[in-house]
Amino acid sequence: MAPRDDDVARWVEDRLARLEPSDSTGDERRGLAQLRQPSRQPSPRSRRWIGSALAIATILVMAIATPSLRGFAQACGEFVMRTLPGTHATQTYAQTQGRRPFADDDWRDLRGHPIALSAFRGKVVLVTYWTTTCQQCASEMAWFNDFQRRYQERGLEVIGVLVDDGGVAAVKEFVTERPIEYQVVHRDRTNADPNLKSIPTTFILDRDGRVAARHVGYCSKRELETDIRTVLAEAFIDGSKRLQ
Amino acid sequence: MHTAREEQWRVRSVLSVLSWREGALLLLRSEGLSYAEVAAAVQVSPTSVGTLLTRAQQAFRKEYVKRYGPA
Repeated sequence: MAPRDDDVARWVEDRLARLEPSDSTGDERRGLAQLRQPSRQPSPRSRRWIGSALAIATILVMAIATPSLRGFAQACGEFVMRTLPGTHATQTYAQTQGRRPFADDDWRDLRGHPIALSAFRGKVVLVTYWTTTCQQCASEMAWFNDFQRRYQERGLEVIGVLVDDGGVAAVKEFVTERPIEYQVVHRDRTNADPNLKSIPTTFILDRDGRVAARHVGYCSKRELETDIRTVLAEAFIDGSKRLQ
Repeated sequence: MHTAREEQWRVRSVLSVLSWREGALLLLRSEGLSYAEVAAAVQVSPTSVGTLLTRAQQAFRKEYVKRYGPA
């Protein structure tokens, strides 16, 4: 006699409960659910209004000379960004089906050697495009250090792509003077890059090198981290063979 | 008697051969998400979550039993 649905449900639940919490945490699953909920998009008019307000706020923040006040103002700005609905309009998250591959590009490490993205296949890769003159990018540096430290063991690799003009030599000193704990590469801005529309732009690539999430412009650390944790967790949901 | 680690391995193996949607339904629901949250996550109608979840559970059990017997 076939078991009843209730019995099967309990039997399955019992087995799923034996998975280690580290395999995939509740936060990740909640993040997955949250990310896939249809986002409320503001009208073009309200988007323009929000954009103008943020631009003014940014100018005011930059005008504050005291580092502690600037930090406080930045934290306030992040809070507003997180709490206002529709302000993360630049965030995109693609389900595992239908993701497009990330276009490989002419990356060079700080010694001028070519770096191929295919070398990171099998890992979740955060690719962030930035320049040495981008203030906003500088504030993200500490976040990326943190991500690299905390998620490296679970398969995350952070790559900062500097797109300053002047080649590797122009950015080498800048990079070596700063405590950057992730891989930094350089590409010549004069080459057309289909991945790049704005600075900063950050991509999170899945383990097959496809674009799982993209953030164009400003976003909060929490948004990035939610995406990272979700894409790391996908390996478990989508193809648990990789974790065996 | 197999170890807890072996049991985890078995569960992962079975999940890996189910469809993405079935695996996600089982994991999200086992984490305590509501039907509405699960529906949003896997992009199905909330009214069909119950049916799809039952099918996913049946598929999981069938595959598990086929591989490892009715433990």
